[in-house]
Amino acid sequence: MITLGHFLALSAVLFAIGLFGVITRRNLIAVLMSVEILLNAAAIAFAATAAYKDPVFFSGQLFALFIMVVAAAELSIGFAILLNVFRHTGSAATDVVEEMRG
Amino acid sequence: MSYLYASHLYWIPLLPALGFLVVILLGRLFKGRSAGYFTTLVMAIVAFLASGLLVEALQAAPQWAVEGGEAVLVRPALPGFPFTFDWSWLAIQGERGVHFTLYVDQLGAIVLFMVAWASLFIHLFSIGYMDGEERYATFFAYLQLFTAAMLTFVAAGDFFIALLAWEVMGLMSYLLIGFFFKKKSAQQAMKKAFITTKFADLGFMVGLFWLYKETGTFQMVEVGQAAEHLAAGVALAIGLLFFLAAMGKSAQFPLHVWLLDAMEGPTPVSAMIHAATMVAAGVFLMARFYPVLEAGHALPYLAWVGAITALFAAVLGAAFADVKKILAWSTVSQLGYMFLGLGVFGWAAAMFHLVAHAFFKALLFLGSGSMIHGAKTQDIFEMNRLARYMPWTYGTFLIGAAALMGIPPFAGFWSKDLILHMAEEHAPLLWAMGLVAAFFTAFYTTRLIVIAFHHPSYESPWKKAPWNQGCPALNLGPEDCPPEPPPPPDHHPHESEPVMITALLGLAVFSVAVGLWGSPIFGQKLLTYLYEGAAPEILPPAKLMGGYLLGTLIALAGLFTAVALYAKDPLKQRLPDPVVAALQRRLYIDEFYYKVVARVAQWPTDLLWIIDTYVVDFLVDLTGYAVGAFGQALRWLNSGKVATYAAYIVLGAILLILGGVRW
Repeated sequence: MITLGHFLALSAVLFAIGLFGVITRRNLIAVLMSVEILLNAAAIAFAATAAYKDPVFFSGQLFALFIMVVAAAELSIGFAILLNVFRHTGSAATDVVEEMRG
Repeated sequence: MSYLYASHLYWIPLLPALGFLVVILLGRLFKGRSAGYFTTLVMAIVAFLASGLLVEALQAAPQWAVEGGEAVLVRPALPGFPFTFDWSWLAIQGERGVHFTLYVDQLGAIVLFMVAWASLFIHLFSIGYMDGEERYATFFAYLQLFTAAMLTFVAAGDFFIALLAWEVMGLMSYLLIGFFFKKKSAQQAMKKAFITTKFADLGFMVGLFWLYKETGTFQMVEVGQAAEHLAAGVALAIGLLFFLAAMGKSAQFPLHVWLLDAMEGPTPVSAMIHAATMVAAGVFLMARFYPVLEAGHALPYLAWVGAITALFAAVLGAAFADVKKILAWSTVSQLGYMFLGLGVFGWAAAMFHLVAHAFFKALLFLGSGSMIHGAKTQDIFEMNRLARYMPWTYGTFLIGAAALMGIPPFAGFWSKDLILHMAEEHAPLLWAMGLVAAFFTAFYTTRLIVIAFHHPSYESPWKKAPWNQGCPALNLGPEDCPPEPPPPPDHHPHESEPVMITALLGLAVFSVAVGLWGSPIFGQKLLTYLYEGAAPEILPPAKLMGGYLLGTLIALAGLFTAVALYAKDPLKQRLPDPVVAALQRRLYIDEFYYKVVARVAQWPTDLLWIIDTYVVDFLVDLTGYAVGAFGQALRWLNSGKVATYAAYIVLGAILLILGGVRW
């Protein structure tokens, strides 16, 4: 029997993987991919919770759809920034962008 | 009963204020003399309104008659008199707020009339006098705002509004004294006037707040009713605080020092602000404040200060060579008479003198402006037989001078003798001082006329005297305050242009008319109008006859003494050098202020400077340094690595979640 706990555990594991990727990866493309994993972890949690707890309104499923749209928009902007960074610096590494260092 | 003019009385102060706004905002559009014509037109409307208001006040005021030495009430005041206008200002949801109250009683109506007409003539005169000066339009804008403030002050029914108008007048006085601000002496004079009068104004503010604490109102009528319930000591203290303000504004000893140097301003300004209206505001304030002064028995202080000032200023007036400064001393002295009059219960007499003096002194000052314009010098010794070249100026000046000297039947004769009569009854010593001052008044006026109008041009003994080098009264040396150059030798005085002469003639008519209005010849109508049922100035002429005779004799004595001394040999110095030096350097009072008072006042200032620099500034700097150091300490957090920031976000989220679980 697959319970809500299983889904949430999957979501938590995916979230941790994504977080690990965002913090440790130096390549901007890898970072964006990790962000995708984060978003999908959240989407799984929403959809699963709704499926078990809210069979009437499907609000969690709706949120999952929203997250997909947001993820698409975020990716397009992220890639635009990435392209500009690459043109500007000749590299797609996160640590070349450090003008904001204190 | 409806009053056409009284129901619209707020237009009287409002119009010149609007005129000020128009001229100051659209200054560039006023080419040539147009600013002068425009503002004069505004003043003509205001003078018309003020005249209508006075006529209505004359009809509505209670009417008294003198019958057998007693004042008899013929008819009480008509309903609606005194005229009031009330506009509540700063009132928030049922609070009282500050009432913008205008209150015009008998005194208010006649002083409004005086201010409006004097201002009209001075505007008219300035059209010609200021011609070709830089900032011509600005000058008229200032005059307009000053007039608005003075009219507001006179019409104010609320001491708070009066204080506001009083301060605006002080500001305009400051700006107009320094109108020729490129001159060092004008810069110094404007500061001197401002600081002296501001010091005195502290008395007004402190007194006003104290008064509010005691009576709970700023309204003049309510203050008048509450006055008798004040404790005598409190009433005396508040009265003296207000008197301090009046002393500063009206240039009474020992705060008279600024008025002489205020003559650095253009002559129409001297006529307007420093002779006819603003300096009389102090006297007017005392008249409005009379109930508290009486309740606190503060009147003897007024009388003494007034008498001392009247005498000492009249004596010093005889020692000066600058025509405007002689007239300035004369103003100080005549204001002293007014305070003397108030101090010896001669309320109506003092007010009569105030109105009469405003007209004839404005006339004399404008006359002196005409003289300066024609002769190209202010020194009476350098003026060349002006009577021959300037007949109109000469004739009108004589009328003003006769009023000042107290020659019957001119204005000053009737008003001054009434004040002296009151002094004789209540304070014989002050009466004697007033008589001596009257002698000197006639003396210095005649000296001025003889030397300026009848003698040819001489080298000025004033400029040669070693003790007059530089401007010691302004704390300026000869390099900063060089003597004015004498007029070129081929210069011929010329009569002034028609607008200026018109102004002189108008003021001459008014000064004669006001004097006759208050004289027994026409039944002392002005005094019965001002009479409020308690003052004892309405006297049968028979009782005044002795005073009239004495006054005439003293005026003639002063006149003939001056003629005898100056007709033949005006340059001869008859007193020893140190005496002349002391008189011409104003008894060293100004220098005492600069050298002693200013230095003593510097000590606490220095102490405060040290505290400010080493304590207050230190604390302020410390705040800045502390914040800076804190920022430096946290600098390493801001690594510039995106990954680190992401880690911070995660950390923050975890902390928030843990916190949420805890609480």
